[in-house]
Amino acid sequence: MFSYNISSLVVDCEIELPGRLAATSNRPAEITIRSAIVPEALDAPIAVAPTWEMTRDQFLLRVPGVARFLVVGDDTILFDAAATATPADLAIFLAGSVFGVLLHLRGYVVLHASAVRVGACAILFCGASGAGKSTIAAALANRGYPVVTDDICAVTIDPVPIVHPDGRQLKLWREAIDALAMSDKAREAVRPSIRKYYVEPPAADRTPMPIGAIYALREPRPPAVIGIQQLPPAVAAAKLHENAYRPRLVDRLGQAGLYFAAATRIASDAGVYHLTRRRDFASMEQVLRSLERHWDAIGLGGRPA
Amino acid sequence: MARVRKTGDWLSAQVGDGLVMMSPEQGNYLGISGVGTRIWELLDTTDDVEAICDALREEYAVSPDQCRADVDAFLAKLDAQGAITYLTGASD
Repeated sequence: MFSYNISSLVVDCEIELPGRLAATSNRPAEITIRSAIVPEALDAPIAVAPTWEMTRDQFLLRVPGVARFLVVGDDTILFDAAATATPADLAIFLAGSVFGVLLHLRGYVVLHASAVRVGACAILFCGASGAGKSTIAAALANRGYPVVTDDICAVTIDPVPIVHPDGRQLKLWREAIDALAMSDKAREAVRPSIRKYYVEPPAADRTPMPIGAIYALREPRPPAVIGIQQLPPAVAAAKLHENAYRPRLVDRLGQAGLYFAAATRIASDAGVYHLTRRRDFASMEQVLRSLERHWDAIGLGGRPA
Repeated sequence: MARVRKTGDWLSAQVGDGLVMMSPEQGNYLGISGVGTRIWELLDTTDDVEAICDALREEYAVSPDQCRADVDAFLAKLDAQGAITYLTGASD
């Protein structure tokens, strides 16, 4: 059995999860991931989509050629691997989508975001897949800002919004690794067939911390102009729901109120912004400088040494 | 005489000097601030638009016509978001 710390939870997993940092805590496991026979469908589902279905306390995800995954209650993940599945295939879903669903079921506010630490706070970058979340986190990590989460960001509200580090390596495309000169930190491919690799961040932080700011990434398509723009609270609240890891699941679980409470709290305490920038690597240095100026302006000091 | 009533199950939270609201069933978000926040509060105590205007004129230096025009414009915005319904005509 392998043991990991993911989003402040101790996770025991029957198979190795590449890209995950080993557990540092001796607490008993809160989540168990193991192989089992998983049905093709669930009895009396309350929601059904082409690839998934759910009941009150179970969530089934079907990934053809990889596995059927079943989240049971809020502490168990079962997987039934297809004959053609590689361990890397299983790991990417177990540590990614399936774990994200489990966090939703446990009542976390789960955002599609990557985060770094600035001073004592987490700075989140959210956006759809391909928006550049991991790349910007990697570029900031190169500047000495520790990475907190990549892709999935688990937040609890108690009473201030707290980010729980995911204890994982970054996942970056080869082009980003080359542009950021991080080849020495690149590890195995995320899946053998794609040019995306696990990358050891130069620094990582594994302590839960409050949110300092959230940036929604976008490109400068008119009328959007390059720069950092604070979102009015109602827009910020809508933006946070939109950037939930699985927005439809939030609605199905009746958690819209939870995200609303989190969003209004974050809009009050921290601020939600658009970061409008060109996505090319040539603009990265300029983007990082404008972020650092913004952190100075909103009082989030703490440049890394 | 225009009468209005709040509709739907809106969640609301104070952010800064304004109010942010969300309707879980419709998935809409609405931000109100300043006098709008006061009007939203007054809607809990009366459904009479004229009574809302009277209350506001005691709190703000505004002419009766201007006050009514501003209240009507704000109520029209709430109506467009499904946050209120007119029990009787909007402009009578």
